[in-house]
Amino acid sequence: MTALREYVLNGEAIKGETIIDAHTHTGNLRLYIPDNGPDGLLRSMDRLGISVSLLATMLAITVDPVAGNQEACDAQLAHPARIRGYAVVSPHMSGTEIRAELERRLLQEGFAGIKLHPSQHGYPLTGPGYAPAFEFASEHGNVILAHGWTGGSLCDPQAFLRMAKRYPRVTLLLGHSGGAIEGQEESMDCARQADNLHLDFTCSIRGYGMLERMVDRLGAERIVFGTDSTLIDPAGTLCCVLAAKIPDDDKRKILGGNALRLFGKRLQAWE
Amino acid sequence: MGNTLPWLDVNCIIGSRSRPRSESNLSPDQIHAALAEWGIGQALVRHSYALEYDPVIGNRLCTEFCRANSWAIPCYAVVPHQTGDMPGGDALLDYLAEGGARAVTFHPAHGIDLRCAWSRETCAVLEQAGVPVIVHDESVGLGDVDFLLSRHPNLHIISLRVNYAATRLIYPMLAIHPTFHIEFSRFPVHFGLEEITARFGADRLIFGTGLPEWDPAVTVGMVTHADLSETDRTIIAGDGLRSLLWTPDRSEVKR
Repeated sequence: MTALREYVLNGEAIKGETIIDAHTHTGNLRLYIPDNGPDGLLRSMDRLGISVSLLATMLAITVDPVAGNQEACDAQLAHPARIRGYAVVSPHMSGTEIRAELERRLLQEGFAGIKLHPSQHGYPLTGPGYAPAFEFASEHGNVILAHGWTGGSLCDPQAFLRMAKRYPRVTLLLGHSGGAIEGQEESMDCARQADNLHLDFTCSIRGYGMLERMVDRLGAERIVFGTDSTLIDPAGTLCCVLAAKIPDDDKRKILGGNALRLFGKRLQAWE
Repeated sequence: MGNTLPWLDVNCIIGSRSRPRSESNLSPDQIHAALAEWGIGQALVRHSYALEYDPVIGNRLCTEFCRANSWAIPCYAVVPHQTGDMPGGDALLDYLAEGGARAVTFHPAHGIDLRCAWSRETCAVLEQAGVPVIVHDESVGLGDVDFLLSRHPNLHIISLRVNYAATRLIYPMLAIHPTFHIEFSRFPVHFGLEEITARFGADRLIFGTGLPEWDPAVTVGMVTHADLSETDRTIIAGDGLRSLLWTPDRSEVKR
């Protein structure tokens, strides 16, 4: 058993490693979820040894992007070493509003990246309403994490491939690796066709042997650890990575090294 | 910590599948090895033939496999007896006992509806004998489970792979039905194990891997990393399920 694998059974917080959870939330997504505020997020992180979380609030994703982004800003200010925000924008905002919000959050407040949620917004990732966000990210070299799920036209892996090719300067994270098992297969195919398209490992569906397959087909460099905490208990996804039959060095890339590389100076304040 | 827990997996299927995925198309020996990696010493198993081909043939194969593999405990698929291919009433208990079955499952792919009249008699027999029922949430929804438990309040039902998004259905069911249990391999609710244990008791949470389809490390890690007492962790890992499994009273069965 490798050193990292032992953490699955021993139940201890990981020590001496940089673990970056690139997909977290606070607040409600209509469901009942216990302890889902910033304190709960930190409690989960401490329990497992997660160093830093990149946060898009549920308020921002659903009904009020600006107020929700302010919640993320407040959490980032309160816990600058542990929480960094995603600026969420909606295609239902005007282009001027989107640019102003992104300038404020990313250029002034030090947010880590941009989060888009086509399913919540009921709007296709490829639609013109998201173009101002992609243009901003292209100008500034930002990371965009977008919700992705197979089987629909709004944000299936093919939509990500189109946007990755349309905006080659944008680092695009394909949320949930496309979702269900079929989506994860499709996501691997798409990511192989665009170097700036990476897979967000966040998913509540963890097929046996799937991470090993992803690493084999795509390389560990293209997979970024995320959990959906505080919607989801991050322990399961973390242990899925820790348990995988891949070298510990690959696990370290997935768990933190890739995020440090992709987000670059946006995480330096944390480092 | 995890090495010393009395793991017992409630959610394991052996046998070839209709729609295998290459990475998870594991032989029974490979499944056993995947369980052993995490110290999981026992599993309640359903046979793929019973679920996807023929319940009677699959049940027989399940018994044959479990007799040859001490880590495996049979769980039989049960269908209405009126078609004549499976016994009903007290004879159903004889059938289960002779095959070593310690639990049963209902599978709507057999063309059954649990809200129809046939299930009243069958569930009454299972309820009276104390045979637990395992159902997969994707095929037997929580509404059907709620219906059965309302009619059979002493029947223990374990729903497999309940969805994390269903907390507003599951919490009321846990509160209303003391014999309702959930297997949580698809219920990774943030601090969900801790809260359900505190509110309803650790015996309502049943450990399952979902092998060979799903990654066992997910649920193992959820248990080992949860903020729980060792007593509660032990119940969730296996002792809770052990206490539910049916042990036939031979005198009762042979009546």
